[in-house]
Amino acid sequence: MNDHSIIIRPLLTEKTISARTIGGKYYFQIHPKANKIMVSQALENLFKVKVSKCNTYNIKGKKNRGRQGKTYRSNWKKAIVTLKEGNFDFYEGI
Amino acid sequence: MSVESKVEKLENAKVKLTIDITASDVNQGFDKAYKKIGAKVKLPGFRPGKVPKSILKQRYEDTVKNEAFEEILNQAIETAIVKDKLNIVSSPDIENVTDVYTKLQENESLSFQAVLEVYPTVELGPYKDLTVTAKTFYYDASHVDLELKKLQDREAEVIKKENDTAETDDLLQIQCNFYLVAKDEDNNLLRHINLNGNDEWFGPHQDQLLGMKVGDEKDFGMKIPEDYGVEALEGKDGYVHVKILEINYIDLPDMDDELAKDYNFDTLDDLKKDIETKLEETVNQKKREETFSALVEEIITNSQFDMGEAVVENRINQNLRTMQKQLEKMNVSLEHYLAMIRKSLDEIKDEMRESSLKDIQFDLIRQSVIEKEKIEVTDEDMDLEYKRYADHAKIPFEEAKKALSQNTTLDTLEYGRLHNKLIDFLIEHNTAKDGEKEAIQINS
Repeated sequence: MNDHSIIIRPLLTEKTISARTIGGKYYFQIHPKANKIMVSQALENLFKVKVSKCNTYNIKGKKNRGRQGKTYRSNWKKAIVTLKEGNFDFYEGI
Repeated sequence: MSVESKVEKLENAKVKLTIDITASDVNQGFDKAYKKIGAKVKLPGFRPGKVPKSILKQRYEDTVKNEAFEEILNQAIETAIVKDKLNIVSSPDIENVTDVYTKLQENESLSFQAVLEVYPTVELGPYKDLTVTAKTFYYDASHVDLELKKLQDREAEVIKKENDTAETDDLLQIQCNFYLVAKDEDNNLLRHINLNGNDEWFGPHQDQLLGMKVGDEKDFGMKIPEDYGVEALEGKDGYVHVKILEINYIDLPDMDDELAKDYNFDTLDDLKKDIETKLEETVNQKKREETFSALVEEIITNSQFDMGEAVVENRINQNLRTMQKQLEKMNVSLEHYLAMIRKSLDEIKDEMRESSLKDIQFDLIRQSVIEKEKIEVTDEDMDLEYKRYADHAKIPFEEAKKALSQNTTLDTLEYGRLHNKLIDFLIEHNTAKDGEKEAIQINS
């Protein structure tokens, strides 16, 4: 598992943007097998920042009801990161 | 929005506006554009209208800029027009649009130039002490007779003939069927014809119909009419099968005092006198109109107009719209009408061009003469109009005044009164020489 496969994408929604503005928290979708330490290290390597806190959650895939009966979206993992120093370009100016 | 603008006059009633917009106004324009685009876009994770500006900027930069460009320039031009009190007639033409577009950036001021056409102006030439030649009109005994005949016709009755033969001047209702060689196709057609030799189809062949009775049928050779409606037959030598359905004759009243009484006159002479007075009025009115139009023509030649193309074009379109509305009332579309008169839209527009130009020139002259001579409609003038209406409608003066003041006809009345005063003024201050004489036309 390399750094790029750990951090899948930043989550940009109204909720995450207000969390960043109010509490300096950044949301990411991460590899389901990655843990807090791996995420912190990957972010520090990729974006040259210092992470102070990293919380992770497993999100259960939602149920889909289709013609084939019940199906599921895949489970995924979310990380909420607080930074000690530095920032992420893609979040800036939002 | 506050803009700095300079107005530079060009030829043909055009002006060049140089407009400077401050950076803050540019930003305001961009903000509006962001808001407008933001309300439309749908992005997962965001409710409509809640997408942050930076994300919009990342993804919809071009759309936002287009919107902002339109918004900023339109508003700037609008503000400048109001500020400089321009009466514009064309949409603005922005010089070097692509350059202006590239120059438009957030946080930067912008300056651009736009060319607009304004309402034409006139430098009025001499309009007093002119001498013009105008047509004059006359009427004679034949006109009086024609008018009398018209009244007589109006009182005529159409009476059905039973078991009698068709004679000259009778009205027939026939069923006709045209064919080329033999009776190959049924094209039964009902037609009313007047046996006075003027019928478009049967006029030259009406002798064939004389002496026939109701229910009679007859075949005879004739040229099939051009407007028959069956293309294969039109204009060819063929035959017609005619069946008489109805024969009527016109019962004309005698031209005597009795006729006069129907029109509220005691004797025929009184009626004739009344007709003569009316004809006299028509003659005078027509002479007045002719003199006025000759004078206007002369003043137009004497005056200098600063006028562009767009104003004429607008007038033509306005006329076209009026025409279209009138046609719609008769349930005819403009396309159908054009096909009927076999003309293209461009040809119609070309025909309208000259008269529209004259109309505008006349408007300008009218306006400036009225302003210069301070011609205006006074209360007494309006009282005269009310009185005329009251006499016409046979109601008390006050009631007429009330009725007219309540609806929109008041403007039309005032305009008409002003127009009349202008005609009076021009005729009074100029000389009209009698030109060629023409008999007045009487509509049948």
